[in-house]
Amino acid sequence: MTEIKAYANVIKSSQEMIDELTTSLGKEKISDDKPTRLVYRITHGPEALLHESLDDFTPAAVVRPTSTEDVQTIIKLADKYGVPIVPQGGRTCTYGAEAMRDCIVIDTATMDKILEIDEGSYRITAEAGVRVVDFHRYLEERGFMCVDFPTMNKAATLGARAALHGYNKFENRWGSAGYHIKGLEVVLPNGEAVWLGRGTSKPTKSVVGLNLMDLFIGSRGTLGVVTKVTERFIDMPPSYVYGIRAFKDYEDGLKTYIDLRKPLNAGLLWRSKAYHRWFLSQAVKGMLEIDFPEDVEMLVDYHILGEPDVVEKMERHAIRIMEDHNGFWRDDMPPTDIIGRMHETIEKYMGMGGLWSDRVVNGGMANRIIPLDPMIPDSRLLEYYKEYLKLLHEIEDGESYPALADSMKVLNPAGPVPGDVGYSKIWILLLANWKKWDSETRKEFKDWFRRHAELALRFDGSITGTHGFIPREMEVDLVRKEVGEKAYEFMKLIKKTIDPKNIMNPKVRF
Amino acid sequence: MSEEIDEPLTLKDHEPQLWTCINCYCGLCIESCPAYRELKNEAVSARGISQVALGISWDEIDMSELLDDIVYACTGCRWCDWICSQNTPIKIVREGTRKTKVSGATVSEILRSMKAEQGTIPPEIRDALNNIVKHGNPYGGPRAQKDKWVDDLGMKIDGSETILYVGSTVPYDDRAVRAAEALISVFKKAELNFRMLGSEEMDSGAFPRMMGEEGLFFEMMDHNLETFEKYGIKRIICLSPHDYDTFTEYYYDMDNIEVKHYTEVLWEMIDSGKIEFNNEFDQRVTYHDPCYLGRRSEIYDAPRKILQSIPKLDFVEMYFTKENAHCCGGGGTGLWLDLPKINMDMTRSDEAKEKDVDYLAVACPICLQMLDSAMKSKDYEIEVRDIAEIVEKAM
Repeated sequence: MTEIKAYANVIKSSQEMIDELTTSLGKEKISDDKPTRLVYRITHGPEALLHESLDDFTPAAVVRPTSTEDVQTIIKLADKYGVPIVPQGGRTCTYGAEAMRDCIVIDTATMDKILEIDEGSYRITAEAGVRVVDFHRYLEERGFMCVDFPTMNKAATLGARAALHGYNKFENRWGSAGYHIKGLEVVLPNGEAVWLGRGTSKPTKSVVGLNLMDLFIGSRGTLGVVTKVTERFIDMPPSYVYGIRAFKDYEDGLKTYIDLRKPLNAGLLWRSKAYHRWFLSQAVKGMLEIDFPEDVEMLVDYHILGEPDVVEKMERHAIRIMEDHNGFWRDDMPPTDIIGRMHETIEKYMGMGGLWSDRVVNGGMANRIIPLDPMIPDSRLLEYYKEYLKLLHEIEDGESYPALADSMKVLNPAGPVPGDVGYSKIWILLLANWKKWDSETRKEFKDWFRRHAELALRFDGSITGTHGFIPREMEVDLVRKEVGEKAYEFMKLIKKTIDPKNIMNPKVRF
Repeated sequence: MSEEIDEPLTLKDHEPQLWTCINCYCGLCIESCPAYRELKNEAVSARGISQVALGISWDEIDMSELLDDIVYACTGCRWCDWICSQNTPIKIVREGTRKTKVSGATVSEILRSMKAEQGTIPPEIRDALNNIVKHGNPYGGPRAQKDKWVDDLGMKIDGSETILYVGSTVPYDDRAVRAAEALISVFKKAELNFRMLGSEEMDSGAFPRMMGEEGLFFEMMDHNLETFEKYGIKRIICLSPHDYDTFTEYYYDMDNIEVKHYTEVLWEMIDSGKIEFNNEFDQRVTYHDPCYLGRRSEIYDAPRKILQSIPKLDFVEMYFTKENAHCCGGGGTGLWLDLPKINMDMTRSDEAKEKDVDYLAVACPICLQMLDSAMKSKDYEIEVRDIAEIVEKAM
């Protein structure tokens, strides 16, 4: 693979590119002032914790295109000058959208128009920078519903959803972001704009030609810039119910979760999730100031949407599954809606960064949340879970990783949530006190992460089911292990063919 | 004076909160930040401005590198403050109101203070501040004009413990005067016992504080508190949500004075039968929540109840309403400093237009100015009126 050119040359080239871009696009679309560059350097992701200086992420400029043609101009100039391009959306992702030193950031949020809706065919086309929340609003006003519902929907953009193949709260029924996308317009590293579908340029499945669109789903800006997206949508479901049960034994809880999300139930049961007491005791205490019952080890919930009569029957079915595995509910449990809302509203979710921090004591600094999400086959979930809990305890025991024990804490050990059919994402949340991170902490974290990755691979899982975070310096090695040597070389071949100068988000390596 | 607020807060004081923002990075504060929606530059959002502030604190950025857009775009609408995950769900121990929040408005205030200390503020703001120093109002209108206005209305202070505090937009802006006079007329008809302070009523300090002149804010506060004490004031009814917010959130030693926004008083009077409507108002009306009344003070119901109680008035909500209402653009320094790429007033006018209304009701003299001008610029056939004006018509 072509390496990025020497750093000194990048600076010179970046400045020359900015000058020419200013002439081509106009000054108002380009920010190269220091404050703006600093603002666009990091994301929600943990990679920043692993660097001594945030200078590693500071771009040379931020460019705000308003059309596909603008993006083409930017890419052609990047190709001419050999300057790295990092496309960004809402920058709430945990890996991929961080800027890199002296790159050009393309902020797609200025491409924010909904272009076309075909209500009869359930297809909608919009520019890549449309925020998911605005997209939802547009559909809701017309009596429809978008079935891609990311946690960070207020910040996330459609293009970034495609580029990350983001996790969907309705994954059990509808799958990840990429499964709703029917067509993409992308600008390739040579500056050409092309519409892609699954084997056709039309927004539908086809057996004509190759499925080129999926190359870009989850590619994190390494092959091109997504500029337009065509998605499917559905009629607004008229009925919704939420239910939850407690389990004294996490094995019962996990078995319930697996039964609830069997493919046969997926038509109406859109979401099911398990919550371990390690997480609940901290979250409930922090948010409601009440103690979580000592004898409850796991909660499992469900969300059912559809026609009222069918929803009613499905709920009875779901309750029967829960009771078959000894599920119960008591008056001393926290309010049911608080659990349902915990992930449903980002306010609650991200507010947990305040737990185990000065924030709750005296309004001081909160923690940075590190979300990890191995994807494990349901057939090996129980077995994996037992081993994983042991590994997590090592973060806090003070003996295995003394520096981590002083600067990191487990918030959520693992709440399995539906991933692909038959697979679950293990939703792990760690809390990091960033100010305490030093070289020793970084070293220990990388060691722990490697063991975490190897455990997932040993259970036939994937290292990441959603967020994509792998420490940058370990990425090549771990991706190679996960996909296998031949697949890895094939990926490199595709990257090299499409992006021979390696200008597209070159920090994401494979 | 409280020791805690006597010392101006610095970026160093806020460093833990700035770190919190960088740690969280959830982006909730961005999508409805009115300044961000206009500029699409994240540097003006709370998440962005926190990084800018840390950059200054860490000597990565020199103050001279800060563009006016970044320092002055925030209108203090408190979207970021209200939506922030680190402010709402966790039981934060709050000291006063400002120290522990992660707020774009808070950080903007500090950056503006730093600019003021350096003497590098924009001329429009400098002029407004000079006018407050000289005349007690940012327009530079003579104090005698206010005394005459109050005298002409027969409302000079005379021992009443209740005052209507009209603020420093009155009697210097015609639209604000129209709203104030309508309110006074309604109160008189309802036989409310109240008076006004005339030129002894100085700017509450809301304008200087948002312009970064914390010292001038304290001067205004001290003057007003002395005046309230001098006349034995027990109850203040505010025309402007900005003054209401300043009295309730930033003044010390107000424990013995009840502060109300006029919409609360009007609704109490309607609810108790002291105000009756004899006329119909057969118009389709929507209501714009002033940020300083809504998100900042959580007064959402009273204005709506007033409008909904008026015979034949067809009330409709805008899509972005109550906690989610977008700003008119007049908060912060927005009324004085025209940042060319920011047109929140136009954006909000479009949102009212979407509802096909005859009237846009407001409850703030600044919103009134901003949105009335925007409707006229856009040539929309929507009348912008203060709620007091609509009530007066319906009585």
